[in-house]
Amino acid sequence: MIILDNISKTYRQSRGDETTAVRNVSLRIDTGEVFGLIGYSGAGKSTLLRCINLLERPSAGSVIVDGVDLTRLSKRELNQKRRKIGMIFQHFHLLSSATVAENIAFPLRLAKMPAAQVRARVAEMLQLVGLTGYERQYPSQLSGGQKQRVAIARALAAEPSVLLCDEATSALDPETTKSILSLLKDINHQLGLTIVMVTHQMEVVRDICDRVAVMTEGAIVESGRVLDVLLKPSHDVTKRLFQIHQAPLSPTVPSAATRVVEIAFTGATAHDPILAEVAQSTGCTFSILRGTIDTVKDVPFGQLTVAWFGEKTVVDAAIQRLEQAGFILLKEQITDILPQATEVTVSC
Amino acid sequence: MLNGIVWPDIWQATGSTIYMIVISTLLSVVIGLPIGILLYMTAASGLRPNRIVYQVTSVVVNIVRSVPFIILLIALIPFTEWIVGTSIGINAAIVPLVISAAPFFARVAETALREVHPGVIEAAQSMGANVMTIVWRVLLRESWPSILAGVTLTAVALVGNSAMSGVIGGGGLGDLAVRYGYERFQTNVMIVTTIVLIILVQILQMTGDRVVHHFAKRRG
Repeated sequence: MIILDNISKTYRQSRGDETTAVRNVSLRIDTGEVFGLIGYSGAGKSTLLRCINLLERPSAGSVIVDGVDLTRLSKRELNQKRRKIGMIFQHFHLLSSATVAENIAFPLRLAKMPAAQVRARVAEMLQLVGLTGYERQYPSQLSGGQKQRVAIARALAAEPSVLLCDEATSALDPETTKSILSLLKDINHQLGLTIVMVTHQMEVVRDICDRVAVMTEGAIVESGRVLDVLLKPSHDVTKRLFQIHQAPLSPTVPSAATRVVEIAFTGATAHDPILAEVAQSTGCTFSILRGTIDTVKDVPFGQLTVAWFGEKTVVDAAIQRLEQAGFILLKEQITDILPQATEVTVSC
Repeated sequence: MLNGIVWPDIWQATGSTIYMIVISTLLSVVIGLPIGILLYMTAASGLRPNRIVYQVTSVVVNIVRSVPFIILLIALIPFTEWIVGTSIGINAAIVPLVISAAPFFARVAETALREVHPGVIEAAQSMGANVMTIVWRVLLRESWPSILAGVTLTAVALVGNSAMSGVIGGGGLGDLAVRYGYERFQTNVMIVTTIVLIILVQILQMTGDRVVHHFAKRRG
């Protein structure tokens, strides 16, 4: 478990000015959890991540990893502790002069592991990341995705309990990003590893994070379970980051609709024919104007804009039924179609 | 054209020059590399920033580097006598050669170390490596080809300087060129020694490039 207690990081600049990269952040990350830190560049999320293994020493506050306050450790003790906190980076940072096997062996040699054991462990790690047979290759001979796999193997070789990922997929193409994320997901399941990911990519959070914290200007403005944040974003930055790109509504939105609502559904409700059932049983009709269906960490998640037709009371009853069935009412009367509707009235 | 050239003298002088270059290159690296590492470590962007140590080292290095070799050669005579016991001969020539080349190599090494990506050092820190480990297993290892290229550069510079040390009776090809070519007006000896020096430089450069290539071939 990682506890960040009231962390601040201030940099003193040459002219005596100070810039604050992280301000008063408190955070608790549970063992075995995949935690996302999301925000635009310059939000302070990388600085906060680097405070966890003290690559950046916080100006104030304490960092407690598995019960140990890192800020109170001596240099030697800190180096010992860091071996239990793996880290991977956007640009991999492998030793270019060392082979894949030597790179993965690096943390093991730091721990003074005997050579025979090192060899066995390297082979095991290569198998874990799917690169068996690449022992003697040099990083320059590998693709970006393969380099990140080597970096993951290196970070995990000394059996850490925590893996810190600093924009680990930001330099990779979408396909490779997916494969690295699924590798991280597997590792999280298999080893029960706690993963903290810094990213600006919404997909990363949606794919593998259990919880997420949104950062802006050095502070956490919103945090919670990914689905909750996704469904009910409260801060502007969250709304912008988590905005699901939906097609704009067509200008020929039926003006005869009684109500137009945006609804969301997740999990079990995604598989049942609830919309049709509700419409049938109440006697109204509906038309789906737009929608997206996706998954959040393997749980289906959908958002639909639906126009309902029929008597006001009947439609109201239908929508109420939907809510009872587990649908979430996000928005009533989508604003972007309102001007359109007025225009129609004027021209008549 | 080749009249009056004493070939055994030429070969002996070539041997002396090679001896001077090899020994002074080695000593320059042995002295210059730690200074280069010190400069790198104590610079503002280094692992152990220390303004005072950096500035003092840097100024000393700059001063030695700005003194023309011929002046250093003469100014160092008492020092050379103290160290070697004499100021004449190839062993005596090695002292000013090393004093001039070591600061040069220190700068070359400092530059080579700076080429190592800070991220790689950070990755090593995140794995719990201490400063000594980072210097040996990350910095020197990663910058090895550049450092070797710097050794070649230093050796080639030493060829020129070693010839100049002939002026104070340093021995080697430069000495030969001065004694026969200049003092006895035997231009052909001067030409032959120059040709031998050119060949020496070519061999040094080619060997250096080969070695660097060998260490660098697999990297991106």
